[in-house]
Formats: sequence, structure tokens, C-alpha cells
Amino acid sequence: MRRIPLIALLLAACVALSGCAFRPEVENQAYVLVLGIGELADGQLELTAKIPRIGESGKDEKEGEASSPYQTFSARGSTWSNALENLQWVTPRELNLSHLKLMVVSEVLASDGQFPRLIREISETPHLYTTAHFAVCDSDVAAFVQAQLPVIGTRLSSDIDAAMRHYAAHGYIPESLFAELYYATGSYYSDPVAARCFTDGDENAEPAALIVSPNAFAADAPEEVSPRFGGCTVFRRGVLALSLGVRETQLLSLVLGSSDTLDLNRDGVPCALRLEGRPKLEVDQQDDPVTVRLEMRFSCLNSLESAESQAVSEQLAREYEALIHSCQAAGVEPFGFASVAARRFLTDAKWIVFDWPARFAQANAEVRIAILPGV
Amino acid sequence: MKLSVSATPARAALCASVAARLFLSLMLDGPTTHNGAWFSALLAGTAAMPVAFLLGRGRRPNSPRASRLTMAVFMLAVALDAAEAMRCVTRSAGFLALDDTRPLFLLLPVALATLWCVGKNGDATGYAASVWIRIFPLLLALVLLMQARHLRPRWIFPLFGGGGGAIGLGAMRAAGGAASLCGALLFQEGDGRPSRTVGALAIAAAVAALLIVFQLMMLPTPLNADSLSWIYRLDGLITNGRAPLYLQLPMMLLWFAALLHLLAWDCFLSAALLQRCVPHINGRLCVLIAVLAAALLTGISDHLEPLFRWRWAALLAAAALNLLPLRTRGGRVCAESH
Repeated sequence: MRRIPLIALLLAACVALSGCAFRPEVENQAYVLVLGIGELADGQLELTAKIPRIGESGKDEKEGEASSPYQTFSARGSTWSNALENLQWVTPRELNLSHLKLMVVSEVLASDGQFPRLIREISETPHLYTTAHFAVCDSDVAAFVQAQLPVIGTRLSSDIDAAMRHYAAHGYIPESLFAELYYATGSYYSDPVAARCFTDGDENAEPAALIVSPNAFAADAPEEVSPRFGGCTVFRRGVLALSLGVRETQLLSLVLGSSDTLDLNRDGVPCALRLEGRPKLEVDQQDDPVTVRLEMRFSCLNSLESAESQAVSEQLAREYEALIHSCQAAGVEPFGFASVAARRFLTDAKWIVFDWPARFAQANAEVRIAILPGV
Repeated sequence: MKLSVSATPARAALCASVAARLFLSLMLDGPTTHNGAWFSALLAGTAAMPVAFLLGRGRRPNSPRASRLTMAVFMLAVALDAAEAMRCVTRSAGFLALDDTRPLFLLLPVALATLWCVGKNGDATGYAASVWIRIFPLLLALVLLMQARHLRPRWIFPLFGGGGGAIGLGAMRAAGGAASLCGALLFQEGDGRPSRTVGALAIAAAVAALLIVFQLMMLPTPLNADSLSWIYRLDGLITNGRAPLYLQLPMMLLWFAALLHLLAWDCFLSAALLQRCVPHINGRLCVLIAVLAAALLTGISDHLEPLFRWRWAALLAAAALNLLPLRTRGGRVCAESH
């Protein structure tokens, strides 16, 4: 009998547990899967959210008429919290950002000096899933979000994951999570990168030319715009500072370790390269200006003559040098040299005084590429 | 009910709680975080050792000389520590809760669980910690094994982060917490040799330093860590974008179990010391007062930051005071702990 009060106390404790009290019902939630953040001409923020319908197989209640299993809602506001509040208001169910899969930001907004503050506000929004994929949109963000549709038989959420993994594995985009950008924004190491995306019907969709022709899918979907991913953007202190095309992104992804294969096309002859080991990054701080060295070893999956191997390695070295120079010109360093250089310093103060961004901008770049005999 | 604890479970509880306290102080609750925090953890563990040594010296089998003043200072320090730990558990629960739950509802289950655990007396609290010490490495190994690909050893450089000043301040702040957790030496039963307690402190400091290094490898060091919010740091620890979703359950278990053991040991110590400071008071009442005090102090522990910096010095002085033979005019020893 003495245990009854104890059991009652434990049951009361269970009721008080935060996970069980006031539980949110799934039917009442509007789970945002894709969130677009754009800036209007008057400086207001525009949020566009893609939300799955919760109902019987995505059909409308009236007469079983088929419709999209997703809804798109849009709202605007002068600040992030204001826009989010308005989005909450236009959405018929409780807005829930805890299952966010993809966050898309317009290029204009990402280039704004106020963007770091927005990054912080977003990341401190309660119950927002900060590990969502992150991309910068060259074209209209709202159109991009609207164009996000799942392949038949899948869910949009799994579609997004699959697409991002696929593109990142081939180096077309870098691995790009909002949390990574958030944490790297205030960091004193290398500058973070984010994926680029666009709609293939858009005139500004230049990077797509390297992967697909804008009309390549015309036969499949003549009247629809499709969302595409390709290329990357480099952020400096949370502000977009440089956009890179798909080819440059593939080169960068190899250095960052998110992909390990590269296809070359030499005079119509395909050449598939695979990265062997990790790229070796070195910084020689004794020199003035400092020297940064990048060493990479590839094996060729095709059989190459010795002269061809030499030509391929020279071509790659030139491409890497050009990439490093364009980053130096933009004042960004996305390769990871910073953390290598920081090893020589004992305290933050000395490292900060060393002023790595300025040193890298003036640095000499040496790139060594070795092509090993093919398998 | 007399609140007491044997030496073996007391050492287990000390080890588990000091490791959690050092990590918490240096990576979450302190005014700043930097790459040199691992060194602060080692220094803090070392700084707590003289306190443990002095407390052990002052204690003699069958004739404990611990003065009430020493006990009162340790009781206050450990009550503050309990409030800090409870605030951390509540904030963590609030951060992870699915709904905007009121702080009271987040505080209540924690307080009830602590009340129940501490109500079982010191040996239960200590042996629970010794079970945790056996489970903890397995969970940690699982997390590290799955996470190895995402760890960036380069991010621990510059190795001494904020430099001597920041390392010293962090160590002093953390040492106060670690030293207060040695308070069981004032009343524990059985073999209370200080060398064993010092050994437990050394292990705890090494574990905390190792955990801090792993955490530093997880996220790039921020340029200006002083302005970082508590949410930023907690998010960086638990849902940092680099830990896959399937690892978040073991990470939660690691975090909350470590915090609950710290909280339980804090509350037990403050209750036991209260019982020795105020004669003829029931142990259960002491436990209730200790848990209530921790819950009530939760709200104001934010404003007590300057106090935390000097806590270690106060504890060292109190431990040294314990060695002095305090006598009345008649020459009788007046500051017995019984």
C-alpha cells in the first residue's frame, strides 16, 4: 500500500513530461519541407513554404478529384520574425519547421550585408531544423519552391535528399547544410560554401549549360519549369562573395572531400579520374607573401599514354590555379588552407593578428597534380 | 533518516559529476568558449585537488573535525551548483521540447526525479553513478565511431585558444564547481583517503578534457565566442548539423544522464551538509529543502556569475579553515560535525 503514492507520483511525473503534455497532433501540423526566402524590391522578406497535404492520398475531399499532394504558401514581412508570423497566419494549420528539408535563399538576399543577422535569427528560431540542406537560388525563389514536386511514387522529402546526395557525390554541388553555414559564418577558418540552384526555364540559369541543356527535358515536361542544382557560392563572414560554376565546384568538391571522381573530356575522348587519398594542403608561412600548396593524386580509369597523363595533369593544375586566383580576387578562401595555417599558432590573438584572409589574397599558389597509371 | 554515503560510491559520484561539471562550465555555462578549454579542464581538476586533500586531512576516523563553517560554505557552493545544473537540464529540455512548454512543466519532472533519487540516500546516488560510469564509455564510443568521418582535428588549433587569461579564468570558474563536489569528504564513511579522491578528480578532469577536444573537433571555432548565446552552444553540442539524426538519441542520453547524475550528487551533498549544519533535522526534509532550493535558485543563477569566479578560492579557504582546531574559551573543541 505504501507504494501507491509513489506510483501516483511517477504517473503524475509522466504526465508532466514535456514530450507528452500538450502533444501536437500530426493532423494539425503544417510541416514545411521546403522554405524559400527571398527579398522583394521594397526590402521586405518573402517566405514561400512547401507543405504536404494531410489527407487521403493527396486527393481533394470533393469527389476524389486528384490534386497536388503539396500546397505552397507565401507571406512577406519586414523582418524574419514578422514574415514568419505572417506565414503562420496564412497557413491553415500550425506551422512546423522541425522537418525542414531544404532552405533556399535568393542570391540578392545572400549578397546583402544584413544576411549574417538573418542567418542568426533563422538558426535561433525555436524548433527549426537547422540541419536542412541549404542552397542559394539564382532565379526566382518562389518559382523554385513552387517547382519542387516529387517524382511519382516518392515523397518530396526523400526526393530532395536523394537529389542533394546525388549532385554532391558527383561534385556538381558541395555538401551544403544550413547548420554548416551557420557555424562557419562566425568562424576564423576557411569560408563556407553553399549549393546553387535555379529553375531550368530561367535566363540566369547559366551553370545548367554544363550539365544539361535547358531544353533537354522539354520532351518530358514541356510546360513545367524544373528545379535544378549546380554550382556553388562562397560566403565571406556570412555574405555571398563569389559564385562558382559547376566545373569549378567539381574541382572544389574534390579538395573539400565531398566527391572523389572527375570526368574530363580531352578532344572528345572521355577520361575518368578518381582521387587517390586525401588532397594535401600546405601553407609555407616563411615566405612573404605566403605560399599555399595543393597536391592531389588521381588514378585514371581509362588507359592513358604517358604524354596524355602529363597533359591531363597540366590541364588540371591550370584549372586549379585559375580557381585559386578567382577566390583570391574575391577575397575568399574555401579550400581549407586556413586550418592548416592555424596549426602554427598557439593562441587566437596571434592567429587573428596574422590576418589570414589578407595573407591568402596575396599568396603564391602552387598546384601539383599527379596522374597514376590506370587500372 | 540520516544522510550518509560510503567512500566507494562517493568516489564514483564525484568522478561522474566532476567530468560533467567541467564540461558544462567550460563549453556551455561559462561566459566564453575557446580552443584552450581542454587545458582549463585539466587545470580546474588540478586546482580542485588541494581542496580535496585539505578536506581529507581534516577528517579523522571516529573524530571528524569538520567545522560547521566549512560545511556551511560547501553547502552554499554545492546548492549554487545544483541550481546551475537544474537550470541547464531545464533549458536543454526546453530546447528539445516539441511545444512551447512552460518552464515549470520542464522543471517539475527533473525535480521529482532528483527528489526520488536523492531520497534513496547517498549510496544509491553513488552506485547509480558507478553504473553510469560503465555505460558512458560504450555510448561515447558509439557516438565517436559513427561520427569519426565528421570530426576535424584541424579545428582544435590554435591549441591554447583565448590564451593564458581566458584559460585561467575558465579554470578558476570550473574549479569552483569541481571543488564543491568534493564536499562528501566532510562526512563520508569508510576509507576516505584523499589520494583516492584526488585520483577520481584526475580521471574526471582527463575525461572532461577529452570530451572538450572531441567537441572542438565537431564545430569550427567561432571568431567572437563571447557573444554566443546559450542556444548556439547547446545546438552546437546536440543538433549541430554534423551529427546524423540516428546519433541524436545516444547523444541525448549522454547529455541528460550526465546532467542528472551531476544534479543528484549536488542535491545529495547540499542536503547531507544541511543535516550536519542544523542538528536534529530529518534527512528527508533536508532532501526536500535541497531540491526546492535548487529549483528556486534556478531563476537567479544567471545573476550570480561573479560569485562563480570566486567560489574556488572560498572553498579552498574553507577547507583550510577545517584544519584549524577551533576552540571555545574553555578550551573544548566546538566545531564537531556530529
